[in-house]
Amino acid sequence: MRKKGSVLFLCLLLTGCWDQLQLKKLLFVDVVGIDYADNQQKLKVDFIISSLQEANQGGGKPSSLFIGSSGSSLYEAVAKTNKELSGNLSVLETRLYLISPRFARDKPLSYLDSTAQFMSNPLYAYLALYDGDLSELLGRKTIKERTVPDFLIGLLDDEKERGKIPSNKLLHYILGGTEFRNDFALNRFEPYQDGVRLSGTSLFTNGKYTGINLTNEQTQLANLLDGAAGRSQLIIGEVNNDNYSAFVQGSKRSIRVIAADKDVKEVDIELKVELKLVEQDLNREKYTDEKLAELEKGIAQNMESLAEEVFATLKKANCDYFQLAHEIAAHHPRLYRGMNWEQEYPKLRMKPIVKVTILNSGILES
Amino acid sequence: MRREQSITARQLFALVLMTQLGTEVLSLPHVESGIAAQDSWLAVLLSGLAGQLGILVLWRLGSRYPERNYFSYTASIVGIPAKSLINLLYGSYYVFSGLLLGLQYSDILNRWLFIYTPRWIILLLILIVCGFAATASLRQLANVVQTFILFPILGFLLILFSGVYGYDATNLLPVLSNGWSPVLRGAYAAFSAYVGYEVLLYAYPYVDGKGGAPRILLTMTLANGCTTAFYVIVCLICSTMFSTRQLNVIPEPIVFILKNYRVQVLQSIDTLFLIFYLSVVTATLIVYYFLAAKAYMNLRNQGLGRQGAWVWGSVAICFVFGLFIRKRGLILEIASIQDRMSVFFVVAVPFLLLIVAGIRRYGGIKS
Repeated sequence: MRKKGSVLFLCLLLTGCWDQLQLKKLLFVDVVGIDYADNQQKLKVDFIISSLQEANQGGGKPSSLFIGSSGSSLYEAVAKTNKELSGNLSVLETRLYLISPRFARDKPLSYLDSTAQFMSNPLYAYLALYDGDLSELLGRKTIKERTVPDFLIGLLDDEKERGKIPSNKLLHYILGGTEFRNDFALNRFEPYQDGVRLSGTSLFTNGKYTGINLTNEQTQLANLLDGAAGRSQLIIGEVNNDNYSAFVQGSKRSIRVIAADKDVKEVDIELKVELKLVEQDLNREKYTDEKLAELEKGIAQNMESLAEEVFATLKKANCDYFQLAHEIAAHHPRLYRGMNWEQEYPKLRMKPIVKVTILNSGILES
Repeated sequence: MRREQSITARQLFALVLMTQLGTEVLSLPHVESGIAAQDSWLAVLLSGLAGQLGILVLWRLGSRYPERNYFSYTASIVGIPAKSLINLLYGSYYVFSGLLLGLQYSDILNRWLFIYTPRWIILLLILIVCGFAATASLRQLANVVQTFILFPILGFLLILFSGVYGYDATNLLPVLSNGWSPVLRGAYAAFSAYVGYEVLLYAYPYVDGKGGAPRILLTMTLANGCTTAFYVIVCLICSTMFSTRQLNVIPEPIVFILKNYRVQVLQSIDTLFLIFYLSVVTATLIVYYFLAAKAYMNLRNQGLGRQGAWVWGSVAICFVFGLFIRKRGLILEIASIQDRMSVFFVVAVPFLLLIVAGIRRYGGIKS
């Protein structure tokens, strides 16, 4: 009897006391959009609240509700929203923080730092930039017959899975950033026809947007040069007037710092890629070892010249995307202490070395 | 006084491991980052080695009096009046440690999970459970603790596998960039995280005789080795996943790391971890109240009072003080006092007693 009584008493403790959350009252914020209000004194914060209507076993109709608010901080905006909508805003399921270029140019991370204070806030949410009217985008009901959150997050999920874009988790950048220098490239959306599309990455230095972007092709290569694994990223180009298409099967990056006379002379970023060649002229003669070596060399040269473009853009933006400062500080600490990184980085000699190995030609023989 | 039943070496291992873990591991990478920066893991490793030296001292002391526990044999070393004073101080130290641990974890739960639930309710619930368990015998207590060991293992695996979300080993370089001084200071700060192995002071005579003293030492070494490995790995993971800047502002980086998990069928693994971890904190608290009661009961040679009365008395004191201590700054101040007390009671006093016992024995042989 005593045991049964104890069990019943313990059941009462499982109710969560004062902090119980009723599922029916929770409003799951799926996407948060942050921009400055027109006077730039306040933040303009938009929320998309996702829910499943007509829910049944294994399905339902996804729907999203758009709510706009403003305030001097994220907290104030949330407080205002609470006055306009009954229920509890919850960031338990927030998957994307979308910011505007003008907000990103100022001091975005000082506002976003407060997201770390949100309890139960998963930090796997993406942070991305939208180069357009944020409220107009988030206020739409659907894009290409999908809800706005599912469309945007779907694009990011798929491209990340393909290894073409950086992962851009919010946690990587807030509270000073996980990296040595808070320089990074943020995935960028832009308006396209009646929808939106991913359009490369926006370069940030010291947590602020520089206004300079990388293209999709440059972003993919920058991602590989940053150490991303081979996930069948598509490489296309032309060697000796012949088009080629190849998928990256394996990728390995290494950095070599050449220092002499208390000075960094050059930083070599070497990328070894293994490719599956999928597009070539099937009517031509079979590839000999020499021809294959020539093709590998040609692809490597193409990738090196693209890498040089990436380096030049990064230096122009003073964005140390590859965290070279960290490499030097870790392996040559005395040398780094004597450097003024922000001034010296744009003049730093960076050399890409790409080595290509063609593993096979897919399921056809060439 | 109730006669203790014996415990197995495996139970001793569980008791020591669980008592060592406590809440410190949650904030260890944060505290160490502020002192030793990227060399945190090295500081924690050194501290584990220092803990091993401490274990050797306690083991040596215990093996001199294999039939009696610490609170009883101190009379043979320093006489009955001094023994009573020592036991009184030890009892108070354990009550103080229990108060701090209860405050720390209720504070964590209050900040992370239960913002609306009054903190005194959280504290009361923890204390009631711990008080009830601490009235048991050493063997019963060891059984409970042994059952709980599954939870830190699960927690450790969650932390370990969070590494798949990307880590940067370059964060650990350069090693010893500021010399040994910060590492040694970090080792001192980390030492309190290893406190708990002194459960041997009481448990020594009740460990099963098979294998004798060497087996006890081996068990203690294994337990301390596991705790050291746990702490070092946790520090390595946190240092490689967060920058020093982030670690300096995140007081519980381990819980933060778990926010990275994205599992479709399970939400908020960080919350789950905090609930799991309550079992570790509970186990440590139970041992503290148990030891406090044993120390008080040995104030007189013929025993003083009942274990239950001492335990519930200690719990009541902790609860009353807990009602008034609400500011986090004050809790941190109490923690720094407790750190110094730990070095005194866990290292200095047993070491001095070992020396006195050695001198007395040497004197006895001479005479």
